[in-house]
Amino acid sequence: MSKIREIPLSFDADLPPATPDGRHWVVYTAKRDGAPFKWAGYVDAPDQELALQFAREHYGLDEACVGIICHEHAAATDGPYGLEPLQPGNAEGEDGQDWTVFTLLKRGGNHQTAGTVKAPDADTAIDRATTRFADGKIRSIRVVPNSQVFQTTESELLIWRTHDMTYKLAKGYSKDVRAKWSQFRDEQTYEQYRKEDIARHF
Amino acid sequence: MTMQTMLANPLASIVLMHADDLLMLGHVQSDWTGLAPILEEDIAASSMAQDDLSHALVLYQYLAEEFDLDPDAIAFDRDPADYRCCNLTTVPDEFDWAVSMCKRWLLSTYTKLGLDRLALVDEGDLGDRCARLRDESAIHVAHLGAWMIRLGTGSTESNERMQAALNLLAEEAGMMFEPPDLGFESDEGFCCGRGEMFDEWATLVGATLSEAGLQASFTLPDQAARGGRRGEHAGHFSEQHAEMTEVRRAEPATAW
Amino acid sequence: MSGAANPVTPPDITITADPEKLAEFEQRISDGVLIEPGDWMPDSYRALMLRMAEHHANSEIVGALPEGEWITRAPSMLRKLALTAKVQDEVGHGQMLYRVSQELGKSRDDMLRDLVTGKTKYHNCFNYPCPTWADIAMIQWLIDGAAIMNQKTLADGAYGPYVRTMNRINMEEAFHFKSGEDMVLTLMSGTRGQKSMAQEAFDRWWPIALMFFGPADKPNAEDLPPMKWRMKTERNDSLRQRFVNRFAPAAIDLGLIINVTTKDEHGLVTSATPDEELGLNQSTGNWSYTQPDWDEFWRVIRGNGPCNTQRVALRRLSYEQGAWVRRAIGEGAVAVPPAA
Ligand SMILES: [Fe+2]
Ligand SMILES: [Fe+2]
Repeated sequence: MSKIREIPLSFDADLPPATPDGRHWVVYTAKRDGAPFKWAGYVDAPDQELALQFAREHYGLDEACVGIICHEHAAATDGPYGLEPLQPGNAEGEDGQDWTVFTLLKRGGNHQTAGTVKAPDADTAIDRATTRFADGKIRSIRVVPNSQVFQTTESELLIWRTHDMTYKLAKGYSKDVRAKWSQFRDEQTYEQYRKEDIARHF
Repeated sequence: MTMQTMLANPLASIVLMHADDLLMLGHVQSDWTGLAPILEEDIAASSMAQDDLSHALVLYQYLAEEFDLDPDAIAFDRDPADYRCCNLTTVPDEFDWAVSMCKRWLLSTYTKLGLDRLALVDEGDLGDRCARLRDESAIHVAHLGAWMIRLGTGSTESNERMQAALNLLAEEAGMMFEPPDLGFESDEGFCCGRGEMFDEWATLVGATLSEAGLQASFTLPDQAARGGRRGEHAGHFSEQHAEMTEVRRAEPATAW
Repeated sequence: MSGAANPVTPPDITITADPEKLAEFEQRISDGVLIEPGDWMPDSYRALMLRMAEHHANSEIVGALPEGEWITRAPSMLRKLALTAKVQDEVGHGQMLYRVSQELGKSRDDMLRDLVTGKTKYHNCFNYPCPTWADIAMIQWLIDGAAIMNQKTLADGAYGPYVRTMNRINMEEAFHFKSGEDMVLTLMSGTRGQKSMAQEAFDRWWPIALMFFGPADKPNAEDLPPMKWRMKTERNDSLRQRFVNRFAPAAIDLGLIINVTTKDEHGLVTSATPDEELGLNQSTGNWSYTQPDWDEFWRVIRGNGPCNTQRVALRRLSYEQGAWVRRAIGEGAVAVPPAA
């Protein structure tokens, strides 16, 4: 295969016909059992089955992960996105379908799951979720019908691998790097350089 | 102990056979990183290539501890004739995603069965290691199997491409079951039975193929048929091995 | 590796938005409020943001190519795994940034088509060759190091989806940089051959890293859209100075010589002499250094660099060879019925 990287290539004048983009999915991962699902990223895929497969092999392997959910971008309704935290309202009720509620703790932060509410439509779901979850800190609420939130199943629980994955994490190199620097720099100079890395760059 | 002691050990040759398959599968597939047909699947395939390499490493580390060797030396510094990977794993895919897909699926299904068997071996922590790898190998089989069905049934064009890839690989596939060592000429010796494992593999593979609308027939080759498992590799393996070890060989006795 | 989002000064912008709305929009930005896709924004903001995110996405996936060349030759299991994961991360960054761009109004397929037909660009630094293993070490140390510095300032920008993506990406860039630092340290602790291989690669990548941040901004950059709208938050020259302050002393301590070089049309060094400008100014705390060859920068960005043709061609091959897979799943014969 690597030969393909070396040989000079030439092409016909025309590109193959365009292929439309897949549906857009939003992906959330949970670090531990019982922990909230936090926004991780996006995938494009024709259906939820492939969306979850793609999500597992990308975001599921970015850091320790025990579960993944996804929904279509179009299935989500975001409530107002104020400068100030949301005030709890008084909308209540138990009619309608179930909605998954995502909350945003700081503007510009990432959504995470908070629980569910019942409501006949998205706007009511946001109102009821505000009553339930606004606690003086939350900035915004997103709701998605439960029927449109898809989750990795029990039978495929293994996401994060059991073999050593520190080769793909910065912390996997810290000890070696420190030991090797000791040939070139004294401990104090190295320590200052490392601290500056953390404070200013990483 | 030496590399030769390890190579002469019957159980080690079974372990090496799987480790070398995984090394070369990961070697060839990792080269696709950045070039696959869909960005999302590029990432997924690369994750699985990293698993394959990691699994090979877990097995090399076991052997390294048993025989007091360096895992990298086992992985890279053997003579090509001392590798026990099968021919299928090294067949060049010529930048054809269908070949890459079919090859990985055929091999992962086989590897999963091999690890099932090695997981039962009571020899140090080999069984434990293989049980863990087997669970991850199952992820690959599920992912790749789903893709076989998607591409087999996706369009006439994709069905034809997948069928062509299978036609290219089917004959080599049987040679996965070549015994790696002369000590394993009998069925029983081959870590729980060569014929039984072939039947189990062919049944699993056949079920997915029929769901995918694809055809292939596989045969268990004669014990005497010699190939990669006994060090008789195709020419492309030597090229791959030379490329893989190019940097390492430039300054052999140093850390990289 | 990846991206200075947009090293080249954008074209002059005419802002045609409703002045009242524009004033409110700019006020929100200066208050530190993040702009979200559903919010009102001037058309020119949307266009510039798309241009920036698309350029960054292109840079990520083209950036996967030079290092991808060395995956098959990585000299140990650890390096092979790490390099594969690193190149994979860049593809992931590209995938996420294409999504940010899609939301600004252009399909991924259109972006890929424009990239492979040369209608859009990617970061200049990927038009240089990577002839030895030591180039991998230098790219991850210097270029990913530069990318982190740049992307940290971009994460301080004003467009919500881009900011979130930068924060996510920067976690992975830290791995790229650390792995690069480890490789450079290993080579410089190694044999004579390894050290000279590292020095030669350093000679190739030092000037590219200086160019990474782009040419100096206009004197009034703070009043012009990219900075006024917090699409970028620090001047190119100031980032470059921080980079030199951080990397020059580290290189010297490692025994690397910072040279001024000339290169041939293949991007290979034809002469190297120690940079006589180099030195720490005790009063400012800044290192002085010789500027890279900005004529070369413009030549390469106009398409005449050592590897421009090769990089675009390989991306195009990948796009064309993979079309049948995208068609097969796009037709969705096995697709589960869409959620209602
Ligand atoms: Fe990077
Ligand atoms: Fe990147």
